[in-house]
Amino acid sequence: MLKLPPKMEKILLLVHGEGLREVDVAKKLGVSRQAISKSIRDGVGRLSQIFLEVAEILNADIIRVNLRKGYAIFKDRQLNIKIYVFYIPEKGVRILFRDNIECNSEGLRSLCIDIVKAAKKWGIIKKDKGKSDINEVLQEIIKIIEA
Amino acid sequence: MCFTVGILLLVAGISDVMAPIIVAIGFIMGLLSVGKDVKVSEGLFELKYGFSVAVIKYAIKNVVDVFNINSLSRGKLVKYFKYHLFIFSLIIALPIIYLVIKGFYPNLAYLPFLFLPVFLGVILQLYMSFTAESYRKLISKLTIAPSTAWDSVGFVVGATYREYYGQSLFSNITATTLYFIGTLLLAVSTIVLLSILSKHHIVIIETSNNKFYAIGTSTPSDAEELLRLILKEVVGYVETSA
Repeated sequence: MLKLPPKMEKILLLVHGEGLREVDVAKKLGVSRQAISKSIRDGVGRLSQIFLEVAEILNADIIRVNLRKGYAIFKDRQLNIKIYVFYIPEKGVRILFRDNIECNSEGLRSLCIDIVKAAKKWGIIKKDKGKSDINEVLQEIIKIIEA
Repeated sequence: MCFTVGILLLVAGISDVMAPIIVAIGFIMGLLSVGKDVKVSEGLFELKYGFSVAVIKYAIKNVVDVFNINSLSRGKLVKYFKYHLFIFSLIIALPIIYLVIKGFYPNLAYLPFLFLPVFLGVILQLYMSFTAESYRKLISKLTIAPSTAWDSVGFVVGATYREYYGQSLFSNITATTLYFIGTLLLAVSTIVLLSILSKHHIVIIETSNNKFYAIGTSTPSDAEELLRLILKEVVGYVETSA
């Protein structure tokens, strides 16, 4: 299944997304620091397996896998186009093809909104970002992860 | 770097003993930096360097980001390895600093030697700043520029030597030898460097304590294989062993 267990996901977002220290997360959740460390190690390992599985399904080459920010960049072997894979908290992975970057249609708009929300949760972009056009925000996310 | 300093010491006549020692140190450091082996075991990614025996070892664990920087559309090595930019700037500046401090024109036969670090430094700095995919097209176009520059340096030295020294370059065996070694080094290093920079792919690994490691691979498929190996055997190890 291409999803992280809810508790593991929460811990990863608190540490990597919000930048909290492991000790603070342990206090907040009422568990030991060692449990948090183990959960992060396991979470990162599980996330890496999820991205590897997606790469296999899409028959794509891996270019980047960022386990701290929950995204991956692949390249389709046949079409030779970039594929952006984001891990959306509570929902699992969402895939964006380079050609699909315009978020104007109804179906794509909800996908774009999910990706932007996830990018904020993972700390790829700042949380107050969102007043500008969604296409622009998405382009900015792509720029950040491609650098 | 050591080669440049050594040659400059020799050219400046500061020390005949130190120059070969510094060049030798550079040569040894070059041998030490040759990749020997890559080992993956129990969640550890081990890099071994040294020729012919592995002397330097790096053990990498807790990987959080791994990528082929040459395949990113905005990938820049300088973002992760700022210190190298300073080294390359120093390589470029050394011959100029030397000329300014000494305040004289060196023998024209040394010109290819002085031009070599400047040229290599510029190419490496450009590569550090524009590592992305699109740079590969630019680098093939740039090949024309160094070839032209190299021919120009050779032409200038040959044409002006008699004018300055009142004799042909070939009448002085030391000057002729140095001139040919310099131009040969310039040509060989240009070809080697451009071939490496335009074909090789660099994989960057970031660990949870914000350390970056760069591994050069021969082809994009080698880079892809390395990325998969790291993700499966290093990052995924915790999961399978838990």
